[in-house]
Amino acid sequence: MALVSPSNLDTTTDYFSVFELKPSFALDLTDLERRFYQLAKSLHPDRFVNHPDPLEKTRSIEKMSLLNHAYQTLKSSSLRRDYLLEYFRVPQSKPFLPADLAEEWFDVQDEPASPQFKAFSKKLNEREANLKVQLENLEKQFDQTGNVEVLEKISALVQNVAYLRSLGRDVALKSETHSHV
Amino acid sequence: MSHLNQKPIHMSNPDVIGIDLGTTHSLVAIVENGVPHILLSREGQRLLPSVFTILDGKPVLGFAAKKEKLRHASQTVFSIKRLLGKGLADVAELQKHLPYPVTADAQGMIQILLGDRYYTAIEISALILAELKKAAEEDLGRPIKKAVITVPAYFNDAQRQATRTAGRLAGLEVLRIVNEPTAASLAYGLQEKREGIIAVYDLGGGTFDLSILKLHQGIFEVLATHGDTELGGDDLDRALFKVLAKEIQDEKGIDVYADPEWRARLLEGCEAAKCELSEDDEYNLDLDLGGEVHFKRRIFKTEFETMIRPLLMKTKNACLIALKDAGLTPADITDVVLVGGSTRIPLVKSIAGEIFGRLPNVSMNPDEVVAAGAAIQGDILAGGNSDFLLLDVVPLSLGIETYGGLMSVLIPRNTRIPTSAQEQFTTFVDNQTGVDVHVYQGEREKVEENRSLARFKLWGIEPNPAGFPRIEVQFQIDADGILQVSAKDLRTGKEQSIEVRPSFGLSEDQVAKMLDDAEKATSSDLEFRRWIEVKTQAEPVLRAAEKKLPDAKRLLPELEFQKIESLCASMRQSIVAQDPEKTQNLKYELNHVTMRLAELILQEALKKR
Repeated sequence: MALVSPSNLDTTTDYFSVFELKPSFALDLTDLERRFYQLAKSLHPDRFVNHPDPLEKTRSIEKMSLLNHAYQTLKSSSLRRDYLLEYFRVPQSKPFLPADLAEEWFDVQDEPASPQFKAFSKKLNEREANLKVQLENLEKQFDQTGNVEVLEKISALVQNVAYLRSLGRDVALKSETHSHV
Repeated sequence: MSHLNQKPIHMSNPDVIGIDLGTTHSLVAIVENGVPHILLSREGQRLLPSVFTILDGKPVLGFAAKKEKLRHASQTVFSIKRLLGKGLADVAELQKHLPYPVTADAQGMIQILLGDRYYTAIEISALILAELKKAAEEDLGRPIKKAVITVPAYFNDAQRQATRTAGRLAGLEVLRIVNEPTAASLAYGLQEKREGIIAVYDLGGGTFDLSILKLHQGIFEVLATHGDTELGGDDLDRALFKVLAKEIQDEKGIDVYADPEWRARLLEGCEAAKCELSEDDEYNLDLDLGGEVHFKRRIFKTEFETMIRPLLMKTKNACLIALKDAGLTPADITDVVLVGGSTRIPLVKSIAGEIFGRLPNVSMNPDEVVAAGAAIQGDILAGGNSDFLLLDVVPLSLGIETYGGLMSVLIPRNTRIPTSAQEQFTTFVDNQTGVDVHVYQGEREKVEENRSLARFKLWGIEPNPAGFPRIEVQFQIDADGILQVSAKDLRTGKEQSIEVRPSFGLSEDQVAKMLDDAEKATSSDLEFRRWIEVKTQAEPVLRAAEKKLPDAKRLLPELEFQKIESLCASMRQSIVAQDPEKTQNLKYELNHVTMRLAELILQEALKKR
């Protein structure tokens, strides 16, 4: 493991550089934790209590705040993905609901007891799982090639997964309300 | 990117004490040669009861004050920690049980009338801290200036600030405010030398905390914390109190709530019963209500447990929330560490064990482990221990009031500290020059159900059309878990003026005044001490000289005699006037002029032989 040097860290440093990591979707969390602990041991304000320069104390608080933000973000796969898209300034695409699903939902939404409703719910789950597999493949592709164009596809997929998930919540709510009646 | 070469500097300064400022008792400890030691109070005890009273016009603390709980019930303050950083409305229920008078000033700040003056909760806490400082100084034989003070993990910003202010008033530089369960984990880590994920179950006199920590290669990382600052051993006493108060009313027709002394007696009886029932299955209470009236009652352990179980089950909820926040299940916990005197109660042990599905670790002294941990953190901060590092979190979400009285969370609970968040503000009407920002802490959607921390006023904004100004407010939570706010006008880049008004606490001006008064009091103490020293040296000189006056008249020339006579007279006057400078000078002069006289007297004596 490379020795991480905290000296050239300031509040404008991006989260991956904080840990001296290459921007990527896949991350070894054990390695990330090790880097976090190592940096914390030299940056934490506890190490600067007796420092004669008050400015250094303030800087240590700022740096540790940055380190905490960076760790919090990179630890979570979804926050990490959002951060990467923001980092490469990928334009946000509008969520897109496939026409077939939109039509079907319109037909079944008022009949939560119908077999069609159940079939729709199943289809929705399958579609979401399918999109997630696609997402993972694209992420791998980016990590290997660094091809920024892949990121736009990822961004579009993320939006669609989010849309399907919120539709999925509506579906679950409908069937739940129904079963309580 | 700037290349800052930031290297930590460690100065060898071993004298950072660790203080556990507890609801029922407080302790002070220090690390020497890598090992934490509890320092003795000036009463020669390891524990200092957190009790304060005024006896014959003099402040008294510790066991000496606790003894007065019955005799001077309305003038003896205990459990002050439960009032710290709060307003009167927060303590309405508690107030009914306290034998001493809890009132509020015009701003709603809690104050207690003792003798001829009002004390705030911060001042009484400061007196306890000052006593611990003195104890440490006497035990160690050297002055102490720096301290780490512990607080319940679930303490909010106002309570933390109040604790830090109390430390300052006690003449201490508070290097860090540390969470009690986190401090305990340090002592556990040092003693047990084990790694893993531990749950620290801390039930003290007045508060409950549950912290989940990961211990790994000297890092003590808090994963989540939850708690209840209104739940502790005191509440268990009061559960019994309520039942017995009703029985006394029914049986004897006496309303114990009507008399501070009766309340104090019954509370004491309940506390004694609780402690005994940790060892025995029953306790015989014999309560003297004065005028030959006695209330006798046998209390069974099973009966007491039925009374306190609902209260203790509240701890379960806090444990489950903390586990969920940490993304863990009970099976992930490798050890459960019990902290706080109340964990001596068998039912508490069994409930803690039940929640986590394992027998709790009881290897640590539950009364001393927090102070020991605070001392270890003091050692870390002094640079004596660079192997350990605490990484803590903020216990409660921090946010601001937004449209419709809703809470807009800026920093969610269990965020690692230090941390920061920014928020932009603008104006609503043309030429508006000030914006009010109200900061809250808590988990509820509506701000009114959360704790108001402070109101900030951004003022001096340049007059412009509504919505034009862009003021960025930075909320920074430091390693003490305390909020600091700064603001910047994004259009001009200027620092924006900000006025901070803590909701319950002392303003910076009030603190400054108190410190000033304290300094004056200390300097007048010092002056007095100096005067006593001068006087005790001067008086024998004066007495000796006056005794020799007949000899002087006989042996010395008239002028020299008159000189001595007038010096004696001046010195008598300066002693009456308590003038140390003049007395000191006269003493030297008198010494000098009587030297020749002493020689002459000696010569005469030798001649006579």
